[in-house]
Amino acid sequence: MTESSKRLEAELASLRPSPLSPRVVDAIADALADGGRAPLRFADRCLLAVMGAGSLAACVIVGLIVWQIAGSAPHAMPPQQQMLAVQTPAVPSPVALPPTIGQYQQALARSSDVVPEILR
Amino acid sequence: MSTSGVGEDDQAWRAWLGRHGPALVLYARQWCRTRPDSEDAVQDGFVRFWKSRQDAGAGAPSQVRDETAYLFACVRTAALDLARAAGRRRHHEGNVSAFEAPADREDLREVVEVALEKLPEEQREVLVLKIWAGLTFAQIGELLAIPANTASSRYRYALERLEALLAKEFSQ
Repeated sequence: MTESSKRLEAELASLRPSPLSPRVVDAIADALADGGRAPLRFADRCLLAVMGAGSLAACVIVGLIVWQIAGSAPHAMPPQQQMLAVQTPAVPSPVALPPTIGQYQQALARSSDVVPEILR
Repeated sequence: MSTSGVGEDDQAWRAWLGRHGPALVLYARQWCRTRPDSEDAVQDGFVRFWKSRQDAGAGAPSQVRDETAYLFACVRTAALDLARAAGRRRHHEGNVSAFEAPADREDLREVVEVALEKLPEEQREVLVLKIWAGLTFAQIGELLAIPANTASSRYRYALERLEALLAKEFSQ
């Protein structure tokens, strides 16, 4: 290195960079006290807000769908009615009843002549 | 962490910042241009540096060989990020000085600030790191991922060019 370069180097070194403002020191102290976590930026905050609103809207939609499905399903019978239905004896249908004597006689009267011979 | 540990940690980072803070702002100013932006870059870079230092102290793997070089590298990254984000509003801040100078050297301060602006970025960067940050060529080489000899050459070229620029300025 030349003599003039050395002189220039010394002259440059006589200038000192301006000191750090207290604002920076305070900001670093805050950031390090917060575990070194950088504060959320505006864009990140917007993204989080949109995601939160989306999740809420999805929950409302799912809730409405479930409510609608439940509303359209047939209503269950109240338990009291169920018990009554079990306890009431079943009414036999007319077809299942045995024929009366009168019905027999009428049928015999309408039948052909073969039947009295068989019965004889 | 104990209360005394927090206190020691607080003293330690303040000592680091006190030692390197002014040079870090000057270094960041090469990309950020305005003083508030430079200080924001120092803040971001320093917090990142100290956090990784704490992680390394807690046993996390670390590739850092020279902590001072790594601190300047963190601030460099933060300054470049900020400059990229604020690219459209970049302007030169002429009224706030980057240097403090004795009253009798005020003329030198003004001329040096103008001449530094005219240096190629790679030379200016090495000059700032060598003269005002006090880094060795080995540290500069590690920071910029270049051989120490290359850092030394850039420094020599920067001084020669600055000498010519200053001679021209003083002759006017």
